[in-house]
Amino acid sequence: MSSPELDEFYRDITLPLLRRARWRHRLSRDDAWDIVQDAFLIAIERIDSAKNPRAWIVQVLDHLALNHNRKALRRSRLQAQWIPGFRERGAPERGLHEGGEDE
Amino acid sequence: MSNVILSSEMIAAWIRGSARGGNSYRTRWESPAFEYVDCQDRQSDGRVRSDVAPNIEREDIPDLGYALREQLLGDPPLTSVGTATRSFEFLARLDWPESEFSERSDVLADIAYLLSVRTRAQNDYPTAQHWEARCVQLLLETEPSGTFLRNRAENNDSRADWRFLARPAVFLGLCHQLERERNHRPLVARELVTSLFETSGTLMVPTEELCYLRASLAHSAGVATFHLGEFEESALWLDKARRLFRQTSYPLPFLVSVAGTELISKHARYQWNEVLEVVGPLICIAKKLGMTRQTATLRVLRAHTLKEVSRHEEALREFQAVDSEHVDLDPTLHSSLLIAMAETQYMLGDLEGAAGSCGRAAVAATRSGAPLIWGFLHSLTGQVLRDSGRVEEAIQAFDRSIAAYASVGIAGLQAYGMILSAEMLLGLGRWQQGVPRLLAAISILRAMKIDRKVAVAVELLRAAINSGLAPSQQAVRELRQVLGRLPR
Repeated sequence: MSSPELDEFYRDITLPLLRRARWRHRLSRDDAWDIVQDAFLIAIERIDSAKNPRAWIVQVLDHLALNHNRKALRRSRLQAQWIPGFRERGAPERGLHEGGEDE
Repeated sequence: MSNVILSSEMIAAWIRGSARGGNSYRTRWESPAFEYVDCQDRQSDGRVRSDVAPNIEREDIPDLGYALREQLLGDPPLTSVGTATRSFEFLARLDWPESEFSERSDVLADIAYLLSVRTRAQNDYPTAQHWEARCVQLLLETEPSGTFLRNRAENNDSRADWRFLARPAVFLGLCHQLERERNHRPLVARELVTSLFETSGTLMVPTEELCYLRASLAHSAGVATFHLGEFEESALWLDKARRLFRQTSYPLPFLVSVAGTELISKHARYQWNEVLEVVGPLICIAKKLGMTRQTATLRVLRAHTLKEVSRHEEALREFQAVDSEHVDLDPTLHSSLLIAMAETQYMLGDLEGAAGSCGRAAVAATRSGAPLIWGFLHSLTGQVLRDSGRVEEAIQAFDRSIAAYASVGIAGLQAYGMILSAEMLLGLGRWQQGVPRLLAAISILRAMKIDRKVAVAVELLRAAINSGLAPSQQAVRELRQVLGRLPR
Protein backbone atom coordinates (compact mmCIF):
# COMPACT_ATOMS: atom_id res chain seq x y z
CA MET A 1 0.00 0.00 0.00
CA SER A 2 1.25 3.46 -0.80
CA SER A 3 1.54 6.15 1.83
CA PRO A 4 -1.30 8.31 0.38
CA GLU A 5 -3.62 5.31 0.51
CA LEU A 6 -2.75 4.69 4.15
CA ASP A 7 -3.24 8.40 4.91
CA GLU A 8 -6.65 8.21 3.31
CA PHE A 9 -7.48 5.12 5.36
CA TYR A 10 -6.39 6.90 8.54
CA ARG A 11 -8.46 9.98 7.72
CA ASP A 12 -11.59 8.21 6.47
CA ILE A 13 -11.74 5.12 8.67
CA THR A 14 -9.43 5.16 11.66
CA LEU A 15 -10.05 8.71 12.86
CA PRO A 16 -13.86 8.53 12.79
CA LEU A 17 -13.76 5.24 14.68
CA LEU A 18 -11.33 6.67 17.23
CA ARG A 19 -13.60 9.66 17.71
CA ARG A 20 -16.60 7.40 18.18
CA ALA A 21 -14.78 5.31 20.80
CA ARG A 22 -13.53 8.44 22.50
CA TRP A 23 -16.68 10.58 22.54
CA ARG A 24 -19.56 8.15 22.40
CA HIS A 25 -18.06 5.49 24.63
CA ARG A 26 -16.00 7.90 26.68
CA LEU A 27 -12.79 5.91 26.45
CA SER A 28 -9.40 7.34 27.18
CA ARG A 29 -7.24 8.02 24.14
CA ASP A 30 -5.16 4.88 24.67
CA ASP A 31 -8.18 2.68 25.31
CA ALA A 32 -9.88 4.09 22.22
CA TRP A 33 -6.81 3.29 20.18
CA ASP A 34 -6.71 -0.30 21.52
CA ILE A 35 -10.39 -0.85 20.83
CA VAL A 36 -10.09 0.38 17.24
CA GLN A 37 -7.10 -1.90 16.68
CA ASP A 38 -9.07 -4.83 18.13
CA ALA A 39 -11.96 -4.01 15.83
CA PHE A 40 -9.56 -4.02 12.88
CA LEU A 41 -8.17 -7.42 13.87
CA ILE A 42 -11.67 -8.88 13.86
CA ALA A 43 -12.42 -7.09 10.60
CA ILE A 44 -9.45 -8.63 8.77
CA GLU A 45 -11.19 -12.00 9.11
CA ARG A 46 -14.76 -11.04 8.45
CA ILE A 47 -15.34 -7.64 6.91
CA ASP A 48 -15.15 -8.77 3.28
CA SER A 49 -18.29 -10.85 3.74
CA ALA A 50 -20.24 -8.10 5.52
CA LYS A 51 -23.25 -6.77 3.62
CA ASN A 52 -22.61 -3.24 4.80
CA PRO A 53 -18.97 -2.94 5.92
CA ARG A 54 -19.44 0.53 7.41
CA ALA A 55 -22.37 -0.47 9.61
CA TRP A 56 -20.64 -3.74 10.47
CA ILE A 57 -17.39 -2.25 11.73
CA VAL A 58 -19.20 0.39 13.78
CA GLN A 59 -21.19 -2.37 15.45
CA VAL A 60 -18.01 -4.30 16.20
CA LEU A 61 -16.44 -1.19 17.68
CA ASP A 62 -19.54 -0.47 19.77
CA HIS A 63 -19.62 -4.01 21.12
CA LEU A 64 -15.95 -3.94 22.02
CA ALA A 65 -16.30 -0.56 23.70
CA LEU A 66 -19.39 -1.65 25.64
CA ASN A 67 -17.59 -4.78 26.83
CA HIS A 68 -14.57 -2.74 27.78
CA ASN A 69 -16.67 -0.34 29.82
CA ARG A 70 -18.58 -3.15 31.47
CA LYS A 71 -15.35 -4.87 32.51
CA ALA A 72 -13.91 -1.60 33.80
CA LEU A 73 -17.03 -0.98 35.86
CA ARG A 74 -16.95 -4.49 37.29
CA ARG A 75 -13.25 -4.18 38.12
CA SER A 76 -13.86 -0.86 39.79
CA ARG A 77 -16.70 -2.31 41.88
CA LEU A 78 -14.61 -5.27 42.95
CA GLN A 79 -11.72 -3.02 43.88
CA ALA A 80 -14.06 -0.81 45.89
CA GLN A 81 -15.35 -3.91 47.65
CA TRP A 82 -12.02 -5.54 48.43
CA ILE A 83 -9.42 -2.81 48.57
CA PRO A 84 -9.78 -0.55 51.62
CA GLY A 85 -9.91 3.13 50.71
CA PHE A 86 -10.50 2.52 46.99
CA ARG A 87 -13.20 4.82 45.55
CA GLU A 88 -15.56 3.33 43.04
CA ARG A 89 -15.94 5.12 39.72
CA GLY A 90 -18.74 4.69 37.19
CA ALA A 91 -17.43 3.50 33.83
CA PRO A 92 -19.15 6.18 31.74
CA GLU A 93 -17.48 8.91 33.76
CA ARG A 94 -13.99 7.62 33.27
CA GLY A 95 -11.64 8.16 30.44
CA LEU A 96 -12.67 11.28 28.61
CA HIS A 97 -10.69 13.72 30.63
CA GLU A 98 -8.01 11.26 31.61
CA GLY A 99 -4.78 10.48 29.87
CA GLY A 100 -2.93 13.69 30.41
CA GLU A 101 -1.72 13.88 26.85
CA ASP A 102 -4.81 15.59 25.52
CA GLU A 103 -4.78 19.31 25.28
CA MET B 1 -18.53 6.69 -1.13
CA SER B 2 -16.97 3.39 -2.19
CA ASN B 3 -16.47 0.40 0.07
CA VAL B 4 -13.05 -0.39 -1.41
CA ILE B 5 -11.22 1.49 1.30
CA LEU B 6 -12.93 -0.58 3.98
CA SER B 7 -11.56 -4.00 3.10
CA SER B 8 -9.49 -6.61 4.91
CA GLU B 9 -6.54 -5.81 2.63
CA MET B 10 -6.57 -2.11 3.52
CA ILE B 11 -7.05 -2.84 7.22
CA ALA B 12 -4.12 -5.28 7.26
CA ALA B 13 -1.92 -2.75 5.47
CA TRP B 14 -2.95 -0.05 7.92
CA ILE B 15 -2.18 -2.21 10.94
CA ARG B 16 1.27 -3.01 9.56
CA GLY B 17 1.90 0.68 8.86
CA SER B 18 0.47 2.04 12.08
CA ALA B 19 2.54 -0.34 14.17
CA ARG B 20 5.59 1.42 12.79
CA GLY B 21 4.28 4.96 12.79
CA GLY B 22 2.10 5.13 15.92
CA ASN B 23 -0.75 7.61 16.00
CA SER B 24 -1.24 11.30 16.39
CA TYR B 25 -4.88 11.50 17.34
CA ARG B 26 -5.68 14.25 19.81
CA THR B 27 -8.97 15.66 20.91
CA ARG B 28 -7.91 19.26 20.96
CA TRP B 29 -11.38 20.68 20.92
CA GLU B 30 -12.67 19.88 24.37
CA SER B 31 -11.75 23.18 26.01
CA PRO B 32 -12.44 25.46 23.03
CA ALA B 33 -15.82 23.80 22.55
CA PHE B 34 -16.80 24.37 26.16
CA GLU B 35 -15.61 27.95 25.82
CA TYR B 36 -17.69 28.31 22.69
CA VAL B 37 -20.82 27.07 24.46
CA ASP B 38 -20.19 29.39 27.39
CA CYS B 39 -19.90 32.29 24.96
CA GLN B 40 -23.14 31.23 23.33
CA ASP B 41 -24.87 31.13 26.70
CA ARG B 42 -23.75 34.66 27.44
CA GLN B 43 -24.75 35.99 24.01
CA SER B 44 -28.24 37.40 24.29
CA ASP B 45 -28.49 38.58 20.70
CA GLY B 46 -27.78 35.15 19.18
CA ARG B 47 -24.60 36.13 17.29
CA VAL B 48 -21.86 33.53 16.95
CA ARG B 49 -18.64 34.47 18.66
CA SER B 50 -16.10 35.02 15.91
CA ASP B 51 -13.07 34.64 18.18
CA VAL B 52 -13.71 30.93 18.69
CA ALA B 53 -15.48 29.56 15.65
CA PRO B 54 -13.31 30.67 12.70
CA ASN B 55 -10.13 29.19 14.12
CA ILE B 56 -11.24 25.64 13.45
CA GLU B 57 -9.26 23.59 11.02
CA ARG B 58 -11.36 21.30 8.87
CA GLU B 59 -9.91 18.12 10.33
CA ASP B 60 -10.84 19.27 13.86
CA ILE B 61 -14.50 19.88 13.07
CA PRO B 62 -15.72 16.38 14.10
CA ASP B 63 -14.00 16.72 17.48
CA LEU B 64 -15.52 20.15 17.96
CA GLY B 65 -18.90 18.68 17.02
CA TYR B 66 -18.58 15.86 19.50
CA ALA B 67 -17.36 18.25 22.19
CA LEU B 68 -20.33 20.56 21.66
CA ARG B 69 -22.66 17.60 21.70
CA GLU B 70 -21.05 16.45 24.94
CA GLN B 71 -21.49 19.87 26.46
CA LEU B 72 -25.10 20.26 25.37
CA LEU B 73 -26.20 16.76 26.32
CA GLY B 74 -24.14 16.66 29.48
CA ASP B 75 -26.23 19.18 31.34
CA PRO B 76 -29.45 19.79 29.43
CA PRO B 77 -31.26 21.74 32.16
CA LEU B 78 -28.55 24.38 31.90
CA THR B 79 -28.56 24.47 28.10
CA SER B 80 -31.03 26.92 26.66
CA VAL B 81 -32.99 26.04 23.54
CA GLY B 82 -31.44 29.07 21.89
CA THR B 83 -27.90 27.87 22.60
CA ALA B 84 -28.64 24.36 21.39
CA THR B 85 -30.33 25.69 18.24
CA ARG B 86 -27.43 28.01 17.46
CA SER B 87 -24.96 25.21 18.10
CA PHE B 88 -26.91 22.94 15.76
CA GLU B 89 -27.00 25.57 13.04
CA PHE B 90 -23.35 26.43 13.57
CA LEU B 91 -22.26 22.79 13.27
CA ALA B 92 -24.57 22.17 10.33
CA ARG B 93 -22.97 25.08 8.43
CA LEU B 94 -19.39 23.90 8.93
CA ASP B 95 -17.58 22.12 6.14
CA TRP B 96 -17.04 18.71 7.77
CA PRO B 97 -14.28 16.52 6.36
CA GLU B 98 -15.53 13.65 4.26
CA SER B 99 -15.17 10.19 5.72
CA GLU B 100 -16.70 6.76 5.41
CA PHE B 101 -18.96 7.53 8.37
CA SER B 102 -21.34 10.46 8.52
CA GLU B 103 -20.15 11.95 11.79
CA ARG B 104 -21.89 15.23 11.02
CA SER B 105 -25.30 13.51 10.96
CA ASP B 106 -24.40 11.42 14.01
CA VAL B 107 -23.61 14.47 16.12
CA LEU B 108 -26.45 16.61 14.77
CA ALA B 109 -29.03 13.83 15.31
CA ASP B 110 -28.32 13.84 19.03
CA ILE B 111 -28.56 17.63 19.27
CA ALA B 112 -31.80 17.55 17.27
CA TYR B 113 -33.16 14.96 19.70
CA LEU B 114 -32.22 17.17 22.64
CA LEU B 115 -33.95 20.09 20.95
CA SER B 116 -37.11 18.05 20.38
CA VAL B 117 -37.24 17.24 24.10
CA ARG B 118 -36.50 20.80 25.19
CA THR B 119 -38.99 22.47 22.82
CA ARG B 120 -41.66 19.99 23.89
CA ALA B 121 -40.95 20.99 27.49
CA GLN B 122 -41.58 24.58 26.37
CA ASN B 123 -45.03 23.56 25.08
CA ASP B 124 -44.02 24.28 21.49
CA TYR B 125 -45.57 21.38 19.62
CA PRO B 126 -44.77 22.37 16.00
CA THR B 127 -41.09 23.06 16.77
CA ALA B 128 -40.76 19.84 18.78
CA GLN B 129 -42.21 17.91 15.85
CA HIS B 130 -39.82 19.68 13.49
CA TRP B 131 -36.81 18.63 15.58
CA GLU B 132 -38.06 15.08 15.93
CA ALA B 133 -38.39 14.78 12.16
CA ARG B 134 -34.94 16.34 11.71
CA CYS B 135 -33.44 13.93 14.22
CA VAL B 136 -34.87 10.89 12.47
CA GLN B 137 -33.84 12.18 9.05
CA LEU B 138 -30.24 12.67 10.24
CA LEU B 139 -30.19 9.32 11.98
CA LEU B 140 -30.99 7.56 8.72
CA GLU B 141 -27.71 8.93 7.32
CA THR B 142 -25.62 7.39 10.12
CA GLU B 143 -24.21 3.94 10.73
CA PRO B 144 -25.23 1.53 12.10
CA SER B 145 -28.51 3.21 13.16
CA GLY B 146 -29.46 4.16 9.59
CA THR B 147 -29.01 0.60 8.30
CA PHE B 148 -30.91 -0.75 11.30
CA LEU B 149 -33.89 1.55 10.70
CA ARG B 150 -33.87 1.06 6.92
CA ASN B 151 -33.71 -2.73 7.23
CA ARG B 152 -36.59 -2.68 9.64
CA ALA B 153 -38.67 -0.51 7.31
CA GLU B 154 -37.90 -2.54 4.19
CA ASN B 155 -37.57 -6.15 5.27
CA ASN B 156 -38.98 -6.18 8.75
CA ASP B 157 -35.72 -7.66 9.92
CA SER B 158 -32.34 -6.48 11.04
CA ARG B 159 -29.25 -8.24 12.31
CA ALA B 160 -28.32 -5.17 14.31
CA ASP B 161 -28.06 -5.61 18.03
CA TRP B 162 -31.03 -4.38 20.04
CA ARG B 163 -28.58 -2.63 22.31
CA PHE B 164 -28.54 0.18 19.74
CA LEU B 165 -32.03 0.99 20.87
CA ALA B 166 -30.56 2.17 24.13
CA ARG B 167 -29.83 5.39 22.26
CA PRO B 168 -33.00 7.46 22.66
CA ALA B 169 -32.72 9.02 19.20
CA VAL B 170 -32.85 5.54 17.64
CA PHE B 171 -35.85 4.70 19.78
CA LEU B 172 -37.52 7.89 18.58
CA GLY B 173 -36.73 6.81 15.00
CA LEU B 174 -38.55 3.53 15.66
CA CYS B 175 -41.53 5.39 17.12
CA HIS B 176 -41.70 7.46 13.93
CA GLN B 177 -41.47 4.35 11.77
CA LEU B 178 -44.35 2.88 13.75
CA GLU B 179 -46.49 5.93 13.03
CA ARG B 180 -46.33 4.88 9.38
CA GLU B 181 -46.33 1.14 9.95
CA ARG B 182 -49.41 1.13 12.16
CA ASN B 183 -51.35 2.08 9.03
CA HIS B 184 -49.34 0.09 6.50
CA ARG B 185 -48.60 -3.14 8.37
CA PRO B 186 -50.73 -3.18 11.52
CA LEU B 187 -49.86 -6.78 12.46
CA VAL B 188 -46.13 -6.08 12.29
CA ALA B 189 -46.61 -2.81 14.18
CA ARG B 190 -48.45 -4.52 17.02
CA GLU B 191 -45.72 -7.16 17.42
CA LEU B 192 -42.97 -4.58 17.35
CA VAL B 193 -44.64 -2.43 19.99
CA THR B 194 -44.83 -5.39 22.34
CA SER B 195 -41.12 -6.10 22.06
CA LEU B 196 -40.17 -2.42 22.16
CA PHE B 197 -42.09 -1.95 25.37
CA GLU B 198 -39.79 -4.51 27.00
CA THR B 199 -36.67 -3.02 25.41
CA SER B 200 -37.58 0.48 26.54
CA GLY B 201 -36.60 -0.55 30.07
CA THR B 202 -32.94 -0.36 29.01
CA LEU B 203 -33.19 3.26 27.84
CA MET B 204 -31.00 5.60 29.85
CA VAL B 205 -33.34 8.59 29.72
CA PRO B 206 -35.24 10.65 32.28
CA THR B 207 -38.67 9.33 33.26
CA GLU B 208 -40.44 12.08 31.30
CA GLU B 209 -38.76 11.07 28.05
CA LEU B 210 -39.36 7.38 28.73
CA CYS B 211 -43.06 8.07 29.31
CA TYR B 212 -43.23 10.05 26.07
CA LEU B 213 -41.58 7.31 23.99
CA ARG B 214 -43.69 4.58 25.61
CA ALA B 215 -46.85 6.62 25.13
CA SER B 216 -46.02 7.00 21.46
CA LEU B 217 -45.60 3.21 21.23
CA ALA B 218 -48.90 2.59 22.99
CA HIS B 219 -50.67 5.04 20.66
CA SER B 220 -49.28 3.22 17.62
CA ALA B 221 -50.44 -0.10 19.04
CA GLY B 222 -53.88 1.42 19.61
CA VAL B 223 -54.10 2.49 15.97
CA ALA B 224 -52.74 -0.83 14.65
CA THR B 225 -55.14 -2.97 16.70
CA PHE B 226 -58.04 -0.73 15.71
CA HIS B 227 -57.18 -1.38 12.02
CA LEU B 228 -57.13 -5.09 12.82
CA GLY B 229 -60.65 -4.80 14.22
CA GLU B 230 -59.49 -5.58 17.77
CA PHE B 231 -61.43 -2.73 19.31
CA GLU B 232 -61.17 -3.84 22.94
CA GLU B 233 -57.41 -4.27 22.74
CA SER B 234 -57.17 -0.95 20.93
CA ALA B 235 -59.06 0.78 23.75
CA LEU B 236 -56.64 -0.67 26.31
CA TRP B 237 -53.61 0.55 24.37
CA LEU B 238 -55.11 4.00 23.88
CA ASP B 239 -55.86 4.20 27.58
CA LYS B 240 -52.26 3.28 28.33
CA ALA B 241 -51.07 5.94 25.86
CA ARG B 242 -53.24 8.54 27.57
CA ARG B 243 -51.92 7.65 31.02
CA LEU B 244 -48.31 7.82 29.83
CA PHE B 245 -48.75 11.06 27.92
CA ARG B 246 -50.21 12.62 31.09
CA GLN B 247 -46.87 11.99 32.78
CA THR B 248 -45.00 14.05 30.18
CA SER B 249 -44.21 17.75 30.33
CA TYR B 250 -46.67 18.77 27.62
CA PRO B 251 -49.44 16.21 27.25
CA LEU B 252 -52.21 18.27 25.62
CA PRO B 253 -51.44 17.85 21.88
CA PHE B 254 -50.80 14.16 22.34
CA LEU B 255 -54.03 13.66 24.28
CA VAL B 256 -55.80 15.39 21.38
CA SER B 257 -54.12 12.97 19.03
CA VAL B 258 -55.22 9.95 21.10
CA ALA B 259 -58.76 11.35 21.31
CA GLY B 260 -58.73 11.63 17.50
CA THR B 261 -57.83 7.95 17.19
CA GLU B 262 -60.66 7.06 19.58
CA LEU B 263 -63.09 8.99 17.41
CA ILE B 264 -61.88 7.15 14.29
CA SER B 265 -62.48 3.91 16.18
CA LYS B 266 -66.00 5.05 17.12
CA HIS B 267 -66.65 5.93 13.50
CA ALA B 268 -65.70 2.39 12.49
CA ARG B 269 -68.18 1.09 15.09
CA TYR B 270 -71.04 3.17 13.60
CA GLN B 271 -71.19 5.61 16.55
CA TRP B 272 -71.50 8.51 14.14
CA ASN B 273 -73.54 10.89 16.27
CA GLU B 274 -71.02 10.66 19.10
CA VAL B 275 -68.25 11.44 16.62
CA LEU B 276 -70.08 14.51 15.30
CA GLU B 277 -70.64 15.79 18.83
CA VAL B 278 -66.96 15.73 19.76
CA VAL B 279 -65.03 16.22 16.55
CA GLY B 280 -65.78 19.96 16.15
CA PRO B 281 -64.30 21.09 19.49
CA LEU B 282 -61.36 18.74 18.99
CA ILE B 283 -60.59 20.33 15.62
CA CYS B 284 -60.59 23.79 17.29
CA ILE B 285 -58.08 22.64 19.93
CA ALA B 286 -55.83 20.94 17.37
CA LYS B 287 -55.84 24.08 15.22
CA LYS B 288 -55.01 26.28 18.21
CA LEU B 289 -52.06 24.03 19.15
CA GLY B 290 -50.62 24.23 15.63
CA MET B 291 -51.31 20.54 14.93
CA THR B 292 -51.69 20.83 11.17
CA ARG B 293 -51.72 17.14 10.33
CA GLN B 294 -54.11 16.20 13.13
CA THR B 295 -56.42 19.07 12.20
CA ALA B 296 -56.62 17.76 8.64
CA THR B 297 -57.16 14.19 9.88
CA LEU B 298 -60.01 15.28 12.15
CA ARG B 299 -61.63 17.31 9.39
CA VAL B 300 -61.49 14.31 7.06
CA LEU B 301 -63.05 12.24 9.84
CA ARG B 302 -65.84 14.80 10.23
CA ALA B 303 -66.48 14.72 6.48
CA HIS B 304 -66.51 10.90 6.50
CA THR B 305 -69.03 10.91 9.33
CA LEU B 306 -71.26 13.48 7.60
CA LYS B 307 -71.26 11.18 4.57
CA GLU B 308 -72.30 8.22 6.73
CA VAL B 309 -75.28 10.12 8.18
CA SER B 310 -76.35 11.05 4.65
CA ARG B 311 -75.36 14.72 4.90
CA HIS B 312 -73.61 14.27 1.56
CA GLU B 313 -73.42 17.88 0.45
CA GLU B 314 -71.88 19.06 3.74
CA ALA B 315 -69.48 16.13 3.57
CA LEU B 316 -68.41 17.00 0.05
CA ARG B 317 -67.83 20.65 0.99
CA GLU B 318 -65.63 19.58 3.90
CA PHE B 319 -63.65 17.11 1.76
CA GLN B 320 -63.07 19.75 -0.89
CA ALA B 321 -62.06 22.35 1.69
CA VAL B 322 -59.46 20.06 3.28
CA ASP B 323 -58.19 19.03 -0.15
CA SER B 324 -57.61 22.65 -1.18
CA GLU B 325 -56.41 24.07 2.17
CA HIS B 326 -53.94 21.36 3.20
CA VAL B 327 -51.59 21.19 0.23
CA ASP B 328 -48.93 19.16 2.03
CA LEU B 329 -51.09 16.31 3.30
CA ASP B 330 -49.27 13.02 3.66
CA PRO B 331 -50.12 10.62 0.81
CA THR B 332 -51.99 8.11 2.98
CA LEU B 333 -54.37 10.68 4.43
CA HIS B 334 -54.70 12.44 1.08
CA SER B 335 -55.60 9.26 -0.79
CA SER B 336 -58.07 8.30 1.93
CA LEU B 337 -59.67 11.75 1.61
CA LEU B 338 -59.90 11.50 -2.21
CA ILE B 339 -61.45 8.04 -2.08
CA ALA B 340 -64.12 9.19 0.37
CA MET B 341 -64.68 12.33 -1.74
CA ALA B 342 -65.14 10.17 -4.85
CA GLU B 343 -67.65 8.03 -2.97
CA THR B 344 -69.61 11.12 -1.91
CA GLN B 345 -69.57 12.54 -5.44
CA TYR B 346 -70.80 9.20 -6.72
CA MET B 347 -73.64 9.21 -4.18
CA LEU B 348 -74.59 12.71 -5.32
CA GLY B 349 -74.66 11.51 -8.92
CA ASP B 350 -71.53 13.38 -10.02
CA LEU B 351 -69.92 10.51 -11.91
CA GLU B 352 -67.40 12.70 -13.71
CA GLY B 353 -66.25 14.25 -10.42
CA ALA B 354 -66.04 10.79 -8.82
CA ALA B 355 -63.93 9.46 -11.68
CA GLY B 356 -61.57 12.47 -11.38
CA SER B 357 -61.20 11.99 -7.62
CA CYS B 358 -60.59 8.26 -8.11
CA GLY B 359 -57.81 9.04 -10.58
CA ARG B 360 -56.16 11.45 -8.14
CA ALA B 361 -56.66 8.94 -5.33
CA ALA B 362 -54.80 6.29 -7.33
CA VAL B 363 -51.83 8.66 -7.75
CA ALA B 364 -51.80 9.45 -4.01
CA ALA B 365 -52.23 5.75 -3.15
CA THR B 366 -49.20 4.90 -5.26
CA ARG B 367 -47.17 7.48 -3.34
CA SER B 368 -48.51 6.16 -0.05
CA GLY B 369 -48.03 2.47 -0.80
CA ALA B 370 -50.35 1.50 2.05
CA PRO B 371 -52.23 -1.73 1.22
CA LEU B 372 -55.14 -0.44 3.32
CA ILE B 373 -55.61 2.49 0.93
CA TRP B 374 -55.55 0.21 -2.12
CA GLY B 375 -58.15 -1.91 -0.38
CA PHE B 376 -60.42 1.16 -0.02
CA LEU B 377 -59.84 2.22 -3.61
CA HIS B 378 -60.54 -1.19 -5.16
CA SER B 379 -63.60 -1.57 -2.99
CA LEU B 380 -64.99 1.78 -4.17
CA THR B 381 -64.18 0.89 -7.79
CA GLY B 382 -66.04 -2.38 -7.27
CA GLN B 383 -69.12 -0.57 -5.99
CA VAL B 384 -69.12 1.89 -8.91
CA LEU B 385 -68.70 -0.91 -11.46
CA ARG B 386 -71.38 -3.01 -9.80
CA ASP B 387 -73.88 -0.12 -9.87
CA SER B 388 -73.01 0.50 -13.52
CA GLY B 389 -73.92 -3.10 -14.31
CA ARG B 390 -70.33 -4.18 -15.02
CA VAL B 391 -70.56 -7.04 -12.54
CA GLU B 392 -67.65 -9.22 -13.71
CA GLU B 393 -65.25 -6.28 -13.48
CA ALA B 394 -66.75 -5.35 -10.12
CA ILE B 395 -66.05 -8.83 -8.76
CA GLN B 396 -62.44 -8.53 -9.91
CA ALA B 397 -62.12 -5.15 -8.19
CA PHE B 398 -63.53 -6.61 -4.96
CA ASP B 399 -61.09 -9.52 -5.24
CA ARG B 400 -58.21 -7.03 -5.42
CA SER B 401 -59.62 -5.20 -2.43
CA ILE B 402 -59.94 -8.45 -0.43
CA ALA B 403 -56.35 -9.38 -1.31
CA ALA B 404 -55.09 -5.95 -0.19
CA TYR B 405 -56.83 -6.21 3.19
CA ALA B 406 -55.75 -9.84 3.64
CA SER B 407 -52.11 -8.92 2.93
CA VAL B 408 -52.00 -6.77 6.06
CA GLY B 409 -54.30 -8.88 8.21
CA ILE B 410 -57.29 -6.51 8.25
CA ALA B 411 -59.80 -9.33 8.52
CA GLY B 412 -62.96 -7.29 9.17
CA LEU B 413 -62.75 -5.35 5.92
CA GLN B 414 -61.58 -8.46 4.09
CA ALA B 415 -64.74 -10.28 5.22
CA TYR B 416 -66.93 -7.33 4.26
CA GLY B 417 -65.44 -7.35 0.75
CA MET B 418 -66.12 -11.08 0.58
CA ILE B 419 -69.80 -10.50 1.42
CA LEU B 420 -70.13 -7.86 -1.31
CA SER B 421 -68.51 -10.05 -3.96
CA ALA B 422 -70.43 -13.17 -2.80
CA GLU B 423 -73.65 -11.24 -3.23
CA MET B 424 -72.76 -10.54 -6.86
CA LEU B 425 -71.62 -14.10 -7.48
CA LEU B 426 -74.95 -15.38 -6.16
CA GLY B 427 -76.74 -12.81 -8.31
CA LEU B 428 -74.96 -14.28 -11.33
CA GLY B 429 -76.10 -17.76 -10.29
CA ARG B 430 -72.59 -18.87 -9.33
CA TRP B 431 -73.61 -20.73 -6.16
CA GLN B 432 -70.43 -22.80 -5.94
CA GLN B 433 -68.23 -19.70 -5.76
CA GLY B 434 -70.58 -17.44 -3.79
CA VAL B 435 -71.60 -19.71 -0.94
CA PRO B 436 -68.12 -20.81 0.24
CA ARG B 437 -67.05 -17.17 0.14
CA LEU B 438 -70.03 -16.19 2.25
CA LEU B 439 -69.34 -18.97 4.77
CA ALA B 440 -65.70 -17.90 5.03
CA ALA B 441 -66.76 -14.30 5.64
CA ILE B 442 -69.23 -15.38 8.35
CA SER B 443 -66.53 -17.40 10.06
CA ILE B 444 -64.15 -14.40 10.12
CA LEU B 445 -66.84 -11.99 11.32
CA ARG B 446 -68.06 -14.32 14.06
CA ALA B 447 -64.51 -14.75 15.34
CA MET B 448 -64.23 -10.99 15.46
CA LYS B 449 -67.68 -10.60 17.05
CA ILE B 450 -68.85 -8.19 14.35
CA ASP B 451 -72.51 -9.21 14.68
CA ARG B 452 -73.95 -6.52 12.45
CA LYS B 453 -72.11 -7.79 9.38
CA VAL B 454 -72.68 -11.44 10.37
CA ALA B 455 -76.42 -10.73 10.23
CA VAL B 456 -76.09 -9.33 6.70
CA ALA B 457 -74.14 -12.39 5.57
CA VAL B 458 -76.65 -14.78 7.16
CA GLU B 459 -79.51 -13.07 5.35
CA LEU B 460 -77.64 -13.47 2.08
CA LEU B 461 -77.13 -17.13 2.86
CA ARG B 462 -80.85 -17.58 3.45
CA ALA B 463 -81.54 -15.87 0.14
CA ALA B 464 -79.07 -18.22 -1.53
CA ILE B 465 -80.87 -21.27 -0.14
CA ASN B 466 -84.20 -19.97 -1.40
CA SER B 467 -82.84 -19.00 -4.81
CA GLY B 468 -83.12 -22.47 -6.30
CA LEU B 469 -79.57 -22.25 -7.67
CA ALA B 470 -78.15 -25.00 -5.50
CA PRO B 471 -76.30 -27.74 -7.41
CA SER B 472 -78.15 -30.46 -5.41
CA GLN B 473 -80.65 -31.06 -2.62
CA GLN B 474 -77.74 -32.40 -0.55
CA ALA B 475 -76.00 -29.01 -0.81
CA VAL B 476 -79.16 -27.22 0.34
CA ARG B 477 -79.54 -29.60 3.30
CA GLU B 478 -75.96 -29.06 4.38
CA LEU B 479 -76.32 -25.33 4.13
CA ARG B 480 -79.54 -25.35 6.15
CA GLN B 481 -77.66 -27.20 8.89
CA VAL B 482 -74.93 -24.55 8.86
CA LEU B 483 -77.57 -21.85 8.98
CA GLY B 484 -79.26 -23.56 11.92
CA ARG B 485 -76.06 -23.29 13.93
CA LEU B 486 -75.63 -19.57 13.21
CA PRO B 487 -77.15 -16.88 15.44
CA ARG B 488 -80.45 -15.43 14.34
